[in-house]
Amino acid sequence: MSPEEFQVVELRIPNKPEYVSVARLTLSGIASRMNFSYDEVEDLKIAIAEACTNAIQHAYGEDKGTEEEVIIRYLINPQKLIIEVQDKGRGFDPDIIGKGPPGLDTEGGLGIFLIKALVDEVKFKVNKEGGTQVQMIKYRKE
Amino acid sequence: MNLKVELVKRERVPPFINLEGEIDVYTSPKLKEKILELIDGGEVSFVVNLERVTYIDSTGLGVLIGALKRTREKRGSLYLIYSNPRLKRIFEITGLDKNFSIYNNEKELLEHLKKEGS
Repeated sequence: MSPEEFQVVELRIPNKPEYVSVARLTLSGIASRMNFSYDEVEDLKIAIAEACTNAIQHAYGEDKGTEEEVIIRYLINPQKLIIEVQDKGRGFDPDIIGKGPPGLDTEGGLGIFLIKALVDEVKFKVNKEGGTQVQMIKYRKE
Repeated sequence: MNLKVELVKRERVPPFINLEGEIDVYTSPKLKEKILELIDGGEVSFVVNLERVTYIDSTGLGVLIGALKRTREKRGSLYLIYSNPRLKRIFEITGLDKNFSIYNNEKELLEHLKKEGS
């Protein structure tokens, strides 16, 4: 498989807090199968939960629990695992949050801070038609 | 995927909130509810025992930060118990280990409280 070819697993979860654990469990299965270490799998579980929580809590805001869904894509190849979390909510500006060091007064940005700390690369894309995509990349060590 | 929340009150020690399971966006409101119940009931100091917690993310940390602020406002204390390396890692990455009073186990905390009280 070339570095830019991927096997894809897609998961759609309802926009509800109780489904975030399903995204974590799926991640756990995929990352373990890719031979990521226990600590790497646990780090990724937190990163994906933060992205899903963000999609549910911030992106949809007051519309929490509406019929909208969160789409999670796991792109797998021998070099890396890419995780994309896509919502159709109002979107947010990732530059504003999670910049400063976390502390007692920045609890709002803690999730984004953790994502940045726990994966190798993270990109935020705001779609013109609404919604945000968080893309997280974790490389496999040789 | 669940979180068990148990409140234990004993004489001469602050109330313990014993937790077991995972603290995430779904389960953290249960913890928040219990903490608010204690604060509304007039408790200014209490213990959150995370010894049997296997997972915590920013939602759980947010609840603990809120609890810490509330106890400080009332000149009380919030004590945390954990020794799980995963929890240690998350508290260290976020720098929050510097803000909380953390003990490895119940025995260590009780010894500290005894010294403080004497």
